[in-house]
This record gives sequence, C-alpha cells and structure tokens, in this order.
Amino acid sequence: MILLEHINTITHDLIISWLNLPADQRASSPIETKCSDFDGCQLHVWTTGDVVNVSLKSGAAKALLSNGGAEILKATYGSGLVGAQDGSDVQISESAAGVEVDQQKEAFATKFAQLKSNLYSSPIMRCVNAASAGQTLQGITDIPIRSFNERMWVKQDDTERITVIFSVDFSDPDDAVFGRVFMNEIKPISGAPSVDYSIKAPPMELRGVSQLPRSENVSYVTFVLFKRHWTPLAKAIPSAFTLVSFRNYLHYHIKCCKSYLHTRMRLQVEKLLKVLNRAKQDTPKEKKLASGRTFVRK
Amino acid sequence: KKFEHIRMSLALQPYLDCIRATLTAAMCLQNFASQEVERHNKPEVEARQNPDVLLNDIIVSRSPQEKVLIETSINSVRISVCLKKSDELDQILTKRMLRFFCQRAENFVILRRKAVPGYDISFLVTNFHCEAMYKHKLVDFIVAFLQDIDSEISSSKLAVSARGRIVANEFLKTFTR
Repeated sequence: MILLEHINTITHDLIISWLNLPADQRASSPIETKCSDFDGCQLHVWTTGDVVNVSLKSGAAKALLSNGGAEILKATYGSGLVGAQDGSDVQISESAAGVEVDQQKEAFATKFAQLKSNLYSSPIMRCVNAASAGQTLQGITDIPIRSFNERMWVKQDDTERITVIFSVDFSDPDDAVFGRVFMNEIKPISGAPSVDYSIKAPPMELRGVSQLPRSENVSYVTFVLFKRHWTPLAKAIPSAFTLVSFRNYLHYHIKCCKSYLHTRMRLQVEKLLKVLNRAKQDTPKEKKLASGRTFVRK
Repeated sequence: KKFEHIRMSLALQPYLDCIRATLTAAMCLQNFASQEVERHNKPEVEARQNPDVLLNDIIVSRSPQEKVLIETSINSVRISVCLKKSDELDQILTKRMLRFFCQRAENFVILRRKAVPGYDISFLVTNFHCEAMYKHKLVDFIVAFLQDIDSEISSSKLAVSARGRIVANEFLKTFTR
C-alpha cells in the first residue's frame, strides 16, 4: 500500500458491519468503540438505537474549527453536525433509517469515516471555495497540526494559487537524512502542484509570521496548488485530503524504508554466517590410541 | 566511463589482496598464559600489558578514510576496519548495518562487540579460534566481509533512492488524476 487512505478504516468497517445486521438486531448490538487516527486524533464511535454517532477529539481541532472548520463541516454534514456530547471537539450523528441498499450503506459509512479528513482539510477548502467564487481571502492561517513544531500554514495568493506550507519535525536525526533523500527525489511533474523544501530555514512565504519553529530537525515543505487542482470542485476534496496527510505519508514511508533495510541486513547476516561456518573444523572429540587408551579433546 | 569502472575494481582488488596477505602472516598464534595474573589466559592484544608479546601495528589503507588496522600479539590478532562514507546517507546506513552486526557478535564468534575508537568495526581472533577453525578460511571470511559490506551499502543506497522516487511520484500523481 503506497498511498495512505483518507477514511478511518475502523470507523468505516464498524458501521458497515452494523448496517449489515438485520434491522431488528441493530438496537440490541450497539457499537461502542474508541479508536485513534493519525495526528493524535481520538475517535469515539457509538450507536444509540438507530442513530450512529462519531465524535473526534484532537489538539488541533479547536484551531481548525475556528479557521473554516465549523463552516465546512456544517456544509458537508448539515443537520448531522451536533454539539459534542462526550467532551470531544466535534460530533456528527445521523439516523440510519432508510439506509438499505449496499451503495447507500457505503456512502453512509464513508461520510462518518471521513470526519477527520474533512476537518483537517477545512482551511484549504475554505480557500478553494473563496477562489472558486472569485474572492481572495487575506492573511495566513496558522494551525499547530501535531505540536508547536509541526504546523500547517495556508495562504491564498489569488484566485489561481493557494500555498500550503508544512513544518515537519524529525525527532530522530537518521529519519531526517532519509526525509532529505526522499525530498530530493521530488521532481516536478506536469500537472502536479509545485513542491519546494528547505531544511531549518523557513521559506520566504512565511516572512513576517511570528514564532516559527526553528530547530536542527525541522524542515519546511511548500506546496502550491493551482486552479486546475480544484476545478472541477469535485477534484478539490481528494486533493485537499491527500495534501493534509503529507507528513504522515512521509513518516510512514521512512519507516517502511527502515524495515526494508532491516530485512536486507538480516539476509546479509545469514550469508556471512554461512561463510563463517565453512571455516569450522570438525575435529573428532575422542580418538582411540594404539595403546588402547582414548584421547579426549577438551 | 568504461575504463573508470575497471580502474575502480582494480583499485579494490589489490587492497583486499594486501589485507589477505597481511592477515595470513599475522595469524600465527599460539597459546600463551597471562604473565600478570596466575591461571589466566587473556588475548594479549586486548590486555596490552606486556610490550614483548606485542608486534608492530600495520595499517593497510586505500585512502585516508578507508583503512584496516591490524594489531598482532603472540596469541591474538585485532583487525579494525574503517569504511568509506561519502555522504550522510552512507554514514547512517553504515552505522545501522554495523551496529546490527555487533549486536550479533556472539553468533559471529570473531566479531568484537565494540569497535576500536576511530574505526567502524573490529574483529578479535584468538589462538583458540585458530585451533577450532581453519586459518585460511578465517582470512577468507574477513575479506568476504569487507567485500559484502561494500556492495551491501551501495545497493542499499540505490534502493533508498529508488523508493524515494516512487514515494514522491505516487504522491504527486494523485493530484493529476
């Protein structure tokens, strides 16, 4: 699996298997699960009678909600967006009445499973919506996605360009080297957003922004989205979802690379041990002498 | 370009041949009880208490960064290797790989758990090893080790770059669909 998924698989599978129960059994076998997703999100999935509820709690949720998240979620989930009941930051609840056909079930479950992706891509979608309407939002949106050091900045330059900048923190210096090798391999592809990265030094677009994370292990990656990435509007959502998961994608592949190297090392160890075993002599432990005694080699 | 490639592999072979010849000469080991502590038998090259059982150290080097230090004594030989590391990816790959080997030093019998300071990895061969194993095959093992590490690091480097290319391409391609 090269690309990360944009839905929370646990949520999706739980809801689908609950929907596949016969209607009279749904109330008697409710879902009650707490699970987590990337970026420190805690999800709570539960059913009350015929209603499915999913709530999300994360460190970045407040910042996201105030930067376009509330409007975007309202537009996506309509009346499904309700006040959070269990101390979390966002909750959606909807009744499963009338969901019979497989396609409806799939759409229903996916809607819930995409809660995190919708929330996290809302600053970008806010700019996309403004650009499609011919407007330009001013200012830079600054969101601490994971921590102080790992943030996302979104800026709409004009109705044709949106700039998204990530600061990626590598706690392990070896990871930073792998990350740099991977970033070096990014060659421009026609039709794709332009990508630029810098190590330690924040890019020009962030001039004037206060309190930038500066550290040995922090790298900045800048993406510029162009109009073709959000027209038609249906294309914008998968683009935004993919973009927001960049940091997790990078770290996931660095870890895959490290485990691949481990496999190679293990094979190398076996090969060399075989060579070493050829060196071993098989000296007999006991040898009978002509005088009748036995010589034992210690 | 073709000649450059030939030149590179010619440069490696004399280096390995020299190491092989030196090791074969150095590995003339015999049992030697410790002169400092009664009833003890230590590898003298590690103890370094007595100068008259130690021989002169030899460094076989291909370049200032790539060298092999061979320290001999009456009952043990210590071989320390310094590998070529041209960039930071090389450095971390070498470090990870050699640490992986050192953690399995018991399986490798003649491997030293910690490298001699200033070097990447060290071997310790004692007279007991020479009694249990064929001497020429031990030398074969060390030379094979050097060759394999070299080729393993360069192919790992290529593999990491290839993976990076795929990872970057797949990510950007999602936007063009």
